[in-house]
Formats: sequence, C-alpha cells, structure tokens
Amino acid sequence: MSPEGGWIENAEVYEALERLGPVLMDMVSSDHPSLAERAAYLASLGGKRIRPAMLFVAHGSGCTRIEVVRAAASVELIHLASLYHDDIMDRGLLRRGFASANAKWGNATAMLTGTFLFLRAQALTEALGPRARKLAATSAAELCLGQLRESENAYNTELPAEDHLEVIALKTGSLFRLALQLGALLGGVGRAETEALTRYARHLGLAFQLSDDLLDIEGDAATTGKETLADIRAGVYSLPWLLLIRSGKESSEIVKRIFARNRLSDGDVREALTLLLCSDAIPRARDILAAQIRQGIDALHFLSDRSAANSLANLATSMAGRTR
Amino acid sequence: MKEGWDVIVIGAGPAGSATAMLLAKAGIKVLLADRKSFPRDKSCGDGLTPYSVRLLNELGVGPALEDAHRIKGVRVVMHGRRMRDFSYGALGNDYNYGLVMPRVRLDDALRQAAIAAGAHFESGLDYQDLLWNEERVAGVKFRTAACMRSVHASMVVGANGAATAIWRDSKLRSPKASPGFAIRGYFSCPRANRDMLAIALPLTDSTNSYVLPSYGWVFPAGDGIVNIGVGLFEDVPYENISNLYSRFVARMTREEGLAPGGVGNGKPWGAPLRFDFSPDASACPGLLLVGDAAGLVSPFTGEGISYALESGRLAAEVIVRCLATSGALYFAHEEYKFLLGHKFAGYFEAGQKSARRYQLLWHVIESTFDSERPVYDVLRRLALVPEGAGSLSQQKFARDLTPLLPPGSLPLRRRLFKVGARLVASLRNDWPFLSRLEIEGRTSGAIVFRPSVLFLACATLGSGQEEKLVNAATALDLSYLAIFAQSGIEEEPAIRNGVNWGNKFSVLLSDFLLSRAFEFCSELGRNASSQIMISFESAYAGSIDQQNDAWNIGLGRRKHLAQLRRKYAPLFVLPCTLAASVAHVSKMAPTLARYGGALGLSYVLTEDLQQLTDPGHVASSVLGTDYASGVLSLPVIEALKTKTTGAKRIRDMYLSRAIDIEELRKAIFDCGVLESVREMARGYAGRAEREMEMITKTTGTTFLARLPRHSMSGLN
Repeated sequence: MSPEGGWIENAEVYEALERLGPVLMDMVSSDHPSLAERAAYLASLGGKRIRPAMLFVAHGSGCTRIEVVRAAASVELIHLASLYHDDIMDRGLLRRGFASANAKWGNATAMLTGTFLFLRAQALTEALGPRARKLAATSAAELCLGQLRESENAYNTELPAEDHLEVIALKTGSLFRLALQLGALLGGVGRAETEALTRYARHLGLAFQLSDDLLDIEGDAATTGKETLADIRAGVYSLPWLLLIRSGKESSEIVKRIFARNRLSDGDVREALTLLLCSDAIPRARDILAAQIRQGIDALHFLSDRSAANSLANLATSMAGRTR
Repeated sequence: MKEGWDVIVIGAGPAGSATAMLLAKAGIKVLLADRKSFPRDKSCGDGLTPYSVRLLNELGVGPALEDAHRIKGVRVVMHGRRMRDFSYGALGNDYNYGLVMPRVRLDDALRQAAIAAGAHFESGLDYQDLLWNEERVAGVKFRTAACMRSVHASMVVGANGAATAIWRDSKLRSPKASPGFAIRGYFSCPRANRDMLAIALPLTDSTNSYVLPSYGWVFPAGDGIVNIGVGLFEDVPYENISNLYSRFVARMTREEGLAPGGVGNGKPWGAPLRFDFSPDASACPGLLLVGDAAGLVSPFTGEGISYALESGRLAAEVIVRCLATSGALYFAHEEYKFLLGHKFAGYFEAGQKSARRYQLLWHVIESTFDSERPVYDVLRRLALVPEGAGSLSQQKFARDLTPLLPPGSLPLRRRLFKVGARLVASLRNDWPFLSRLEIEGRTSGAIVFRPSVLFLACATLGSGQEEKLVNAATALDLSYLAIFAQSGIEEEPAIRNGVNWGNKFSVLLSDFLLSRAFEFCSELGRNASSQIMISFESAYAGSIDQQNDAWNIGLGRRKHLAQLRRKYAPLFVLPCTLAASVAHVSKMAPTLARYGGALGLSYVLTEDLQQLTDPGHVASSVLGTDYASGVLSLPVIEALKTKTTGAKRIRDMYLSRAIDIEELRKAIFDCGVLESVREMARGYAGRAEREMEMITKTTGTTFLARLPRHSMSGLN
C-alpha cells in the first residue's frame, strides 16, 4: 500500500483498495482501441485513491463487496475525468510525472476522453439505485459549479474570504462528500451519522485545498522558474492572497495594483510574493486551516464506528503537515 | 382639493414617455412629470439598434425618425488592432438597419407622442420622495420652482434614470456607491457619413499597463457630425473617466480628423451607467421601475434604449390589465417582476453573487475574438450585437417548425414549451447568461436542431408519463448544448502564455451543461442512462477516428459516412431509441433508429453543403466540418476522386496541412461534385421519410415524416 494510506485503521479497507485497481481498469475499458488507450491512461498512472479509501472507510465492515468497490471506482472515475479537463484548462503538460493527456493527444481528444469517463461514472452509479444516482449527479453538478464560480472570480481582488471558501467547498468538497455519502448509503449508516460525515467532508475539502495552496506558495517561494505562481498570473487568488488584500495595510494596496496590471512581469510576481511572505496572511491562513481540521474532527464524534472515526481524524490531521 | 391621477410617470426619457403613451392610449389618466422643460439634451451614444427602430415604429413614432442617419452595422475594434464587422443586414427581418438620432430629438418626439395620445405632461417637477399609504407607494412628492407638491396616484412608474434616489426611498436596494459612468461629446468629422457604428474595446490607462473595464465609441450622426464617447463599467482606482475620454478623443482626432462641432461643440457630458438589473429590485407595491432606473443597460456595450422601450411597454401592459380588474392592482408589482424577469432572463440579470460573471465573458470574448468556432461566434453576437435580446426570441424556433406540426399536436407543443422552460429554469439560477446563449444560438442558426423535438415526436408512438418525457427531452437538449460548447476547444501552439480563456470556457460550460443533463437523467431509470452512455461512447469513438483521419486524403466515402453516423448518433439516433424505451414501445426501436440515422446524415450533409455554398455560414453551425483541423467532408472526398485541377489544389492544401476555406470552397466548386452530394443528402432524407411512412400514423410521425425535407429546404 502506498504511504498515503497510513491514515487508515481498518485492515479491510486495504483489502478493498487492492480490489479497486482491476475494477477501475475494467470500468475505463472500451471496445474501441484508441478510446480504450486514452481512457485508461490517467487511471494507469496511479494516484492516492483518497476518495475510494474514504468511501470504504465510511462503509466499514463488508467494504470489499464488489458493489462497494464499483461505487468507489465510479467516484474515482469522476475525479479522473476532472483531471483530464483540468489539464486542458490549466494548460498542464505534466500529470503525475508523465505527459498529460492533452500534451499527448491534443485538447480535443483529452476533452472527449474526460467527458467519456464522466459519463461512464454516471452510468455506473445507475446500478446502485436511485438514491446513489441522485447523489452522484448532484455532486458532479456542484463540482462543475465550483469551477465555474472560481473562473468567474478570476482577477477579483475584492472577493471576500468567506465567498472564496464557499467556492472551494463546492469545488473540492463535493467529491469527498460523494465518497462518504455513497459509503454510508451502501453500508447502511444511519441518517444522523451520514450528516456528520457530510459536515466532515466539507471541512476536509477546505483543509485539503488550503494546505495545497500553502504548499504552492512555499514551493514557489523556493523556486523561481517560469511557472512560478502560475495561479496569480491567471488571476486565481488563493486564501492567503485574499487575506493579504483584505488586511487594509499598505502592502495590500500595492499587491492590488500589481494584480490589476495588464501582464505580470517576473519582477511583479516576486514583489507580490515578498509582500505576502512578510505579511501575517500565511499564519492567518494556517489558523483557518487548523480550525477546519478541528471542526472536521469534531464532526466525527457522532460516529459509532470508531475505527472509521479514527481513520478520518488521521486523514484530517495529516492536512496540517502535508508535504509533496 | 387633493390632486389625483391613475398613474404618475416620473421622467420623460424613452422609458417614461413610452409607458405614458401606452397608458394614455388605453384611456388611463396619466401624469408624465419631468424636472426639465423639453426639448432637452441628454448624454448618450444616440445609437438605435434595429430592435429599437422596430419598437419605435410599433409605438408609432416612425415618422419622426425619417431623417435620422441610417446605420448598416457595427464595427468592433479589439485592442485597437483586430476588428470585426457585424452587419445588421443578416438579421433577415423588416428592420435590418439601425439609426443614430440625437437624444434631444428622440426624447422630444416620444414625449410629444405621449402628449398626443392623451398623457398630461408637466415640466419643472423635481422628484423628492415617495408618498406612502402604509406599505404601498401612493404618490410622489415633487419640488417645483415655488414649493413642494404632493401628487397621489394608484400606481407610480419610476423612469428617472440611473442616478435615482428612488431605490433608497423605495427601500428596493441601497444604491451601490460606484456605478459605471459614460461621457460623450459631438464633433465634426470628415467621415461622419459612414454607415457603421464603431466600438473600441477595451481601453487602457495612460501608461498602458492596466486594461480598463471600458469601451469607446464613434457613432456617425450624419450631417458632418459624430457622437464620440467612452464608458467605464466600474470605478477603478488608477484611472478616471475624464482622462479616459480626453485620451480617446485625442486618438480619434489623430485617426479621424475631428474638430469641435454639433451640439455643445465637443463639450463632454456624462451620465452614470447602471447595469445591475435584478427583477426583484425593479418593483414594490405601487411602484414599477423601467429603463435605466431598473438597471437595464447592456453590460457589454452600454446600450439601453431598446430595453427602456421594452420595459416601458411591459409596465404599461401590466398596469392596464391590473386597473381593469378590481383588486388586481395589489399584485401589479409581482406580475411586473415576474414578466420582466422572464423577458430579460439571463441577459442582464447579474444579482449579487454573479456580479463578476460578465468579467469571465469579457475574457472569453477578448481571447477568442479571432476564432470562427460557432460557440464563440454566438457568444460574441450575444454580447456585442444582441438583436432583441429582450424579446422572446424563444418563439422563433417554435414558429419555424410550426408549419410542420399537424393539427391536433397540442400535447407535443405543450411538451416542447415545457422543455424550453425547464432548460432556462435549470440554468438560470447558477448562470443566467447561458439561457440566452441557447436562445441566441438557435436564432442565429448555430444551433440548428434540437434533439428534444425528435424525442418528443417519437414518443407520441407510445405512452409515457409527461414528467418523465419532459425530463428526458431536457437532458437531451442539455447534452446537445454541451456538445456545442465542446466544439469551442482548440489545439494550442507549443508556446504557452497566460490563460486560454476560450478553451477554459468551453470546458467549464460543457461540463456544467452535462452535469445538469445528468441531474435530469437521474430520474429516468437504469436502462435510459446506459442507452445514453452507449450512444456517447460510440460518438466519441467516431470523433477519435475522425481526428485520427485528419489530413488523410485517402479516406474513403464509406468510412467517412460511418464516422459521421457514429459521431452524431447522440443527436439523431439516441433521441429516437430513447423515446422508444421511455414511451414503452421498444419494438419500434429499430425502425426509429434507422429513421434517426438517415435523418442525421441528411442534416449533416446539408450543413456541409451550406458551409460551402453560403459564405455567411462558415462559422455558424455545430454540425459543419472543422476544416481548420484537417477533417475531411464528403464534398472534399468526392472532389478528390475527380480528375480535375480542383482536386489537385485540394490535395496540395491537405498535404501542406494549411486550409484556406475560401480556396477550398472554390476548388470544390470547380470539381463539380456538389450536385452529387446534394443528391445523397436527398437520398437520406427520402430514406428517413419512408421509414416513417411504414408505421402507424400519429401526430408525431406526421411531423417526423415532414422533417427530413424541411431540413433541406434551406439549400440553394
């Protein structure tokens, strides 16, 4: 098992994860050789499989059943589909250390393949009954809406931090939630506990994204390559930036002006980054991250399955000290 | 004695005068109040779109417009370098021209028409406050030269423009501190008799380091005069509107040879711009807001006259209806809000959450300005030259197909209408603008077909729960729109700089639409979903094969047709077979599938032919061939088989991987193969028709039998 799986305290989940690989590859198959090759590509590159693991954990005992493994695979499939499309939107050339699908086959093909997987995932949830079907459709719609909202707010330095967090909750939280809700549904988990898992999913989504953003900023501070701070060049401002801009200090005005510029030079980017690193925005973002982790763990008190609660608490805690 | 009226209209601009005129015509006692005496000048670009011209004619002020300067279209200049002309002539209706008419004359003509209709006009009435009767607006307090005057009425219409205090007084909303602002001046100009409006997008600050949310215009007014101005959509800290204006005038002086002239002799005059329309904030008990006062101004071009006239007309209709029915007046504001929201659904509606929405569209329009992809073409037209965006152009589609619908097809019509409404409702909450994209796409011919029609017509062969049928049809239309959005994806050169907003938009839009489609599908049951899946899988396989065969001049006809068949199956075959299963007539599925397949090929071949024979058609359809990416069409394949110089030219183009669409068109023409392709399209249409003739007649199948020939009727 990959080291990322260290948070899981239920041995059965590891077993289920072992079974996931072949099922996933089976799900992305197609009679058409070119489509099959393209559809299997990202799945074959591996990944943390964090969403399937969450589904198994929420399900608890009996999660190695084929039906549950299929459900986990369809959540992972939605995630994979979104990666094909993300790489087109971000012009990403690398994915998991290999050429991205768009770099390999072009944008049009990457688009088709991602959509194909998305449709496949939706069709596979059919077998799980009307409730699961509805959950899958709604989560996918929220994921798309979150991405749309993020793009609408490109270059928006006035976006309040709370609104930004709502966008993240949609964008990152939706699939975490789907994983936990499907797991709970198939595992016969009661309503109150499912609600607790839903609350947890939101906090975990926020924590996941915030820790990612902090890693990005620290990573960029350490390097000065051409890709430095690609996000701010594209007008996507993460929480630390929004906190700095909202701080009302002198540096916030300077950064706002830099961001309003037509095209950011490398000097502009370095100047903004220096101002960010000298401000208290990063510690404040860390506080918010810590609060999300805490609230996520608090929600788990309602769970009767203690091994699930412990696993998910471990997962949340790991967000505080993530490294690449 | 207490002074009383049926209705008080505050402000005698286009919105107010139109409202007052229509009310007076209906015999209603109306006071039209303005603080100025007329004629009076007003800051504006003075441009009237064809739709405004139509509305003004419908209001009966056509004769007053006769000597106004006629306009053939709009030229949009992006970043001072790239330009595009949008011709009004292509609109294909009676009013295919615009006008430039100074507001000093337009407003007075409308005001006089209102007086002639019986409205009582009074100048010197300066709005001060609203009068209330408990929770209801019951009149207006005006300041006159001599005193304060309170006037009571059953209804008040606020038409007093963007800088109105009426929002605060009515508690509809607190006015935002910094709306947009526009300034204009008149100049004499040697080229003032041109027949194109010019709009420059966007302008930059003096150091050229900030792109401003702004636009500039040069509108020829005839008689040697131009109206020049700039608009700023929001307040920005690093530039002010006067500097922006001076720089733009200086640039135009250099480029166009301007000199002061006309009214005001080049003196700048400004007015606030408000485009934060929200239906809920446009009325309260006893009060309706129209025109600028309701925030009805285009967030792309600053145009507001057609929306002013249209909202005025709507307000008058609601009031007339409500005054005629006892007690109805208490609901007039609700009715107005509902109708206004429906009419302008998506076009302006920004609301609070989506104030940034237009920014995304701006980025997309800017970065895809040179692209001919259908989705960007539609987006551009929608934003920059919306024709009757406020009109219910949804009706157009229904009108087009109406002759094909046999008598007794009321259920089919009702369901089609429901699909349209459901589509708009499902998009409107999260992205109002999208509902417009769909309507505009249909109006402009880019969206040539709706799978919902096919589905619902096929479903008449069986039985099925109405809700289920409407949901399935909505899902099919949403996935078709998703395919339309995907057609915007372009390959990129190796050097990558900044964001490709076009691709980003296409991906976001397509995924969003598809996710909505699946929400509708999730009600349908297992079988339906896997049918959709299989059909799309086949389509993607067809598309990938087509991409693999790009630039392959050895591609044969049979293989090409098989690829087309697969690629377009979700649009033509899926609706038919899905209908068979949702309407419980599975035994009909094979016949319907054959019908759909043949219909699809006749549609696609027809599109290919139109693309080649009608120069205006290149960019407009999603079914057409994407020649730029090296994909072959049947006309190309047939042309390559001929032993002509045209065939050699085509071969060379494909071998060098550079297609010039004009050259290609000529070469294919020279090969003389178009008639044989046309014959094939006709053959498929006939085949589809025969499939329908062999089965039991229903109102739906009669329609389906007529559809193939109808699809070809646009061919010349």
